[in-house]
Amino acid sequence: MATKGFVISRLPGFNPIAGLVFVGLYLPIIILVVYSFNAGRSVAGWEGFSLHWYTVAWENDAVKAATVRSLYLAASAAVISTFLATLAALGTTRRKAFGGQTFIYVMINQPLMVPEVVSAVALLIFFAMIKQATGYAGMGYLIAAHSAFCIPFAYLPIRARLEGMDMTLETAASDLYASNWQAFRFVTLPLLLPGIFAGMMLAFVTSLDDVVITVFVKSAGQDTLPTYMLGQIRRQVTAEINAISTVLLALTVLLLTLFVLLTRKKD
Amino acid sequence: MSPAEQAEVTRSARTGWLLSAPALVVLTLAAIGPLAIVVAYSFMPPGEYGNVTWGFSLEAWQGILFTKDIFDGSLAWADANLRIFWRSVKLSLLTTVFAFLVGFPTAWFIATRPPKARAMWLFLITIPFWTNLLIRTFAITEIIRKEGLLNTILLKLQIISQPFEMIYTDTAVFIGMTYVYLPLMVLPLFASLDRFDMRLLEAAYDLYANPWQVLRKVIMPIVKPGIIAGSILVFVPSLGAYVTPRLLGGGKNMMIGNFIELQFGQGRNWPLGASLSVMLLIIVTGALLVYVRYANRETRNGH
Amino acid sequence: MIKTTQECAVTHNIAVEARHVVKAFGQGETAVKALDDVSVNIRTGEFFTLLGPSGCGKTTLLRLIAGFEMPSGGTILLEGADITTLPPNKRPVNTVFQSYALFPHLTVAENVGFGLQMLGRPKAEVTATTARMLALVKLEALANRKTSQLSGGQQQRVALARALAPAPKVLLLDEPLSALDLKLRKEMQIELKRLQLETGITFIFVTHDQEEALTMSDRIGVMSAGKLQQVGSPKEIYNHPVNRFVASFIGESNFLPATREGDRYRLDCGALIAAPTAKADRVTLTVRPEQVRLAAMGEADAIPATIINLVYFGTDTHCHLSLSDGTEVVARLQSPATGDAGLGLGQAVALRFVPEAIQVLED
Repeated sequence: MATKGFVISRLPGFNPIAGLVFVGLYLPIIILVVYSFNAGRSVAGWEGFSLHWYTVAWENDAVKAATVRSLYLAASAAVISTFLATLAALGTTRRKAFGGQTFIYVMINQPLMVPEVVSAVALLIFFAMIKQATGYAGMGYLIAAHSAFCIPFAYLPIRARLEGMDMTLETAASDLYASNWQAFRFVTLPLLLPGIFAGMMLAFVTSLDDVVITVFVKSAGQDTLPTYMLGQIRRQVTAEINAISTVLLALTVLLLTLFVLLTRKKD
Repeated sequence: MSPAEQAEVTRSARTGWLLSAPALVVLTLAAIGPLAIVVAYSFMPPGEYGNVTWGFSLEAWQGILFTKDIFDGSLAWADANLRIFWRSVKLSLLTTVFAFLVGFPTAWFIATRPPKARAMWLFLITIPFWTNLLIRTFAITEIIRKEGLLNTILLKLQIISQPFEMIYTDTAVFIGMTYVYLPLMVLPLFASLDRFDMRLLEAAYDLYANPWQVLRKVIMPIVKPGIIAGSILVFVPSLGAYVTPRLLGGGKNMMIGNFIELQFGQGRNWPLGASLSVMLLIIVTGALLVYVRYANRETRNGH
Repeated sequence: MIKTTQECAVTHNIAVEARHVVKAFGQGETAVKALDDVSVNIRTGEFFTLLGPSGCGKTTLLRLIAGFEMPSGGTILLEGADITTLPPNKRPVNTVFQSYALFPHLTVAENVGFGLQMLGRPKAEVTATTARMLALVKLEALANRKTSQLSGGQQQRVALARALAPAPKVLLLDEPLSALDLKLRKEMQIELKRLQLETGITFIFVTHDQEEALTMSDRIGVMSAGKLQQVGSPKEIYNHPVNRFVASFIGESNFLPATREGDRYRLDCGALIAAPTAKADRVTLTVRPEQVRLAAMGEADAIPATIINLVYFGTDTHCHLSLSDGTEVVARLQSPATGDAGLGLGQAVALRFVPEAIQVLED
């Protein structure tokens, strides 16, 4: 193929800039991962390969507690928000347009539109009131908050999947004597499952990543992995943070890959 | 509409609302409802140890721009606040512009790859997008802090004799925000460019446009909705940023987000924090409305 | 832009010349040659059509002339100057795209004036030329519409006006009529021919529609499998196809394998007939269906045959005949006034070819 001369889609200077952007995006992450295996304390100097900081993190009770709490929180929020989002997606797609549909849509996507710090402040005030009134200071607040802001992330892939589905399938099912429930249970739900799993994965990652809302909402002793890290970074930095980051990063990449595989269109 | 059709619409609406109701309840309790309380708090006097005392006061709103002299009660511009607002707007705009300048070529690069490679490059943009913001900010601090990689290398190469202070400056916050929010610019730009009809490029070149004219007169006007979407997606979280300025700007280089937090912490001025939050919310909603207006007009015009 | 002042004797009437042009897509063993050593001269002011089935390379050749793609080998000259590696915005050549490729963010008038604007022409000139072009394609009333509000036929006219506005040396048209319905297509064929005569611009027209090619062109280049098969006037192409592909792609043809015996040919069915002599001994004779006549048994050169099918087309009737060796021959007979030629299936008849209409293909 002749590459000399003019290529219609090439704009001068664009490819080098794109190249620099990809290098710029990944270089810091790669350095972070590489130095998690450093025997020395931090990026000040490479002192040989070692799993030392992974051991340190593993033996750190605070990290262990925060990890368990993060996973528990993300799992609860993912399950709750996906359940709610699935119902809402079924309620807002593939039916005759009705008044208030836009309102529901805006409500569901509201967490994406409000600056996180504002939501965090609002929840801080509101939950402080409830805490004062009831005396309850458990994980419920974090689970409620995370479930709420994860709803739009779970909703989008489920809705997309529903909209891409052939509506005549349910008609065919009801033509073959299936009740509404049977049509849903044996036709719609199986077809919708990849969307539901994809939504749950995004919700899980979103909850796992959250810093701001968690910092404001958590009670004492309710550190999640990100808030624990935030506290550590402000104090003194050891490569322990690099090790925790690397594990979280690996988990995110794994879940994202699964997500891509689930939502990939078969061509 | 016939009665039968009317009944169908009513039935559809009833099931629609019923199925959406649980999500709406949770969102109302744990996301939207509390915002109303923030609005209410912004009109109350502060409590002595945080929180508020019941009553009505415009002090919090006044406090956004003015400070009251404790002796004679006269009002003066709150310079510190204004500096924070200015820094927030300036850094957010700079971040948006710079993210566009490097994000557009990146999105173009991805959109012009063959389909298989395109999915791969897009995935490479998606990974940082979903990676914890804290981790990404931390990755930047690792490079630019005083004992960071950059200083270490420069010292070793004897380009500098003293480590230079980059972290805890506005520049550091700008670099960090561009880094963490860049995917938010690239993704909507890519979505727009992916739908762009590449044959229009041929038509433009055929009609004597040079590459710069092709970019300015054909590509950019057509993908304008994507440019606006990307700009808003970067500007909005930049303006409300909390983690990045906190880690890279330190205590002195606060942005609005940190200033709001301060009011609920050491500042002990919840109403001021509330009024600042409402102000931020209004600005962001305004930006989103502009976008929705614009997007609607574009769809009506048929593109 | 190409300087055209120095015109020399050799090239004075050649608008576009392609010399041994090769275009391959892909690399190594999987490479596909879309154009395989194509050479052609297109004369100034003519309506030249590249005709061939999809995938034959005709659009690729057009895109190479426009500059959208670069050839893998060979040279392309415009009025004698080498433009092979020149980007499209430096070539005084304009294209009417199959998809029209109208700019959706511009009005009709802005689309038409785009080229002149890019060339940096004064505003007054852009406005005047745009108005003239819109008048030429009869779209003055729609000047300020967005292109998305136009019908297919109107979009087609905008695309034409836009490509003509900068007064290109050559206008390239890439199947511009394929998206239109039959009636509109017929109208536009006449319209295009009128525009070409009025402007005097060289048109290079790509189509897979042989009828379109025959009715509009001054000359036709027939392409197949990346090669130029034959170049000639519509009459030459139709009456004297050089090979089996051209004979079958343009119009319908009967093909009869034959062996030379002196100055006559022996068909495989045994009949001996007169035809223009060729060098090769083993040839294929080709005859158009309308040049096949039914004859009386025993008439000179008459060949016995059996009717196997009759298809009525209104003005004429297609009579499918089988020769004794099984070779099928189609005769197009004018439908008689009574509507009944007295023919029936299975009937034994004799047929005869109009001798001057027989073509000998040596392949």
